[in-house]
Amino acid sequence: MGIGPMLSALMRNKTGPALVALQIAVTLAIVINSLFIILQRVEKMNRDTGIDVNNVIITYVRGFGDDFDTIASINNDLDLIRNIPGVVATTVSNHVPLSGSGSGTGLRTVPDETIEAVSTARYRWTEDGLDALGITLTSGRNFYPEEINDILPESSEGSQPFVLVTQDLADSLFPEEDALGKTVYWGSMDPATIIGIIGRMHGSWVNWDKLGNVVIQPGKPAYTSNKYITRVEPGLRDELMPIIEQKLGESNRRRVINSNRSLEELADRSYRRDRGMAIILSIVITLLIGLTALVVVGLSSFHVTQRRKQIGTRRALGAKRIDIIKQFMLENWIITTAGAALGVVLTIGVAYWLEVSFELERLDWRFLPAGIVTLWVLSSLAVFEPARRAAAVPPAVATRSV
Amino acid sequence: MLQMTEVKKTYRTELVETHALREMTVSVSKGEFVAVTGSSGSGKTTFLNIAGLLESFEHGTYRLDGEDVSRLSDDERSTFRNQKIGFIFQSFNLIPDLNLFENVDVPLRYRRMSKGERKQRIEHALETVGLGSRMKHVPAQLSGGQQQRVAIARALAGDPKILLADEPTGNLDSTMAHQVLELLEEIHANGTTIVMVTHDQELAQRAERNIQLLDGRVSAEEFVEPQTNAQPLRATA
Repeated sequence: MGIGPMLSALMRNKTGPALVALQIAVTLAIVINSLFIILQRVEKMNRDTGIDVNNVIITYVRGFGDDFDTIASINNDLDLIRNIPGVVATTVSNHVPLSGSGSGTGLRTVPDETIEAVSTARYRWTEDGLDALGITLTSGRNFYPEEINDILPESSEGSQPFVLVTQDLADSLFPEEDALGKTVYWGSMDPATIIGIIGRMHGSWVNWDKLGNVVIQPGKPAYTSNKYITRVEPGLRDELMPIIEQKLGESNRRRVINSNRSLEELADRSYRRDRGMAIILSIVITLLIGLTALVVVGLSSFHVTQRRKQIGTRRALGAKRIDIIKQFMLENWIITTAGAALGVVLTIGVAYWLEVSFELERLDWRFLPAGIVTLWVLSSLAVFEPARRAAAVPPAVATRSV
Repeated sequence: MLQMTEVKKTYRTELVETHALREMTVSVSKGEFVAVTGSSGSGKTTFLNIAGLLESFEHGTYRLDGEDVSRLSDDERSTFRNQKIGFIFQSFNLIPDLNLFENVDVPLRYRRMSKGERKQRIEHALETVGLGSRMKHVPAQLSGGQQQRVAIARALAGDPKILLADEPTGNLDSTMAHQVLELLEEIHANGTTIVMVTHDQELAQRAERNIQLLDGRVSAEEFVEPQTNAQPLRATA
């Protein structure tokens, strides 16, 4: 049966096929947009952070008592951790990248409050900070040990006149120039010179669009609660985590260990919503595709039962089994294509709405042909078994009265 | 034209074995109009199904148009049916979603004929049965008699060697049945071999020869005196 007679037959009996086409259209719109969102989330979760996430341990400690010597405790703790075999480097930091917790500030290239500042995450750590996170400098130098001061809670942000910045922040501050050696100004208008540039490092807030903007000051934060960042040899993280906890616990009974986790776990927590969204949308896609396949199977099976006599007649008139299979496949292809055509319009509409309402990225047009081809393949697979059953209808059915 | 020799057909279920045809031997010559009659369960439909290659059989031989068709494959039987056999069914078996033109086109498409030749044959066949002006109508818009005429046009369009009719007037009132029968007689007068299965003895008397079946065997055969003055088939304007 050719496309012409099949189309006119479908038009004469269009409710069922129209509903299937609509289902396919909705499926295409939801699947493509969901898939696009999933891939964006996956891409986001797999971004290069610049940090050796898999080999870093974060230990949160807190001293107690009025006479607790924070500085001495931090020094002892860092020495203790540093001397554990397998530890590459350790530092104390005011915040932990990728953890969701941090502090930010604004930097300017001129000491003028009327000029809009460039927002950035801000960290303070010792000369071992870069090594403790596995971060590399692309130019300039790291802090020297003698440049590290103890930073007490009351210290101002401009306590040292030099900083490290990420390349992203450097580009935001000095778009056309090399930022190395340039001066930036804190909100207090205190100056600081950029002495080193980090190729890449993500800050604390993974959903922030300026995640790559980071400024680092030299210092040894000595707050009531402190965070130790420790990088270990690859493969030793899980083995060394309890050892670090045990040694710290044994070394000082006036300091509690609030938590001892891998940076990977903390980062996973930060990306929990993205992962959850990707999983939920994956489930929705799977269910929707499954439902659509069932609808196609259902309609085709219904048609096989409904048209049993008609199929038998066609066989009697000379149709081979393959002709019957082709007929059902072609009919399904027409319905799928009509649904896909409507689905393209729906997909673009939904994508535009998501773009405008939720500031999502513009849909990559290549998803459309990929989605259509996928639906063609899916619906062809779904219709094959009913079509095969139709082809098995014997031609003698044509002469049966019931 | 049709030579069936000692053909046996048995239907089996888990509990029952039914001998539909028992060593049936039937012969139909080219250009003959034969009626096959018998009571319900006598094997008429099974005979027609086997004669029309709609079913296989387990014993005996069957030659049709000079070819041994006893052991053809499923695809070969489809091709043979399509090219050499025209079917007329009791309930017309038109495809309700297709118009008359498209219905008559169905077997021609399976023959992979060119569009132009198909169109010519379809128009000629529909004009022959007097429905040339209603090609765009769907079956539901026609009377039963008209629908059977469309089915006859569908059978004729392929220019078959033999026409197999299964109770062709069984679903028609007497007036329409008469018209259809006259049409069949015209087709026969034009040289087409017709084998008609019917339980209607009056109808059977319009054929040249009657073959009566009983319990899957030929129980009687008689030649009938001509009763009509049918003219060779001509296209109706």
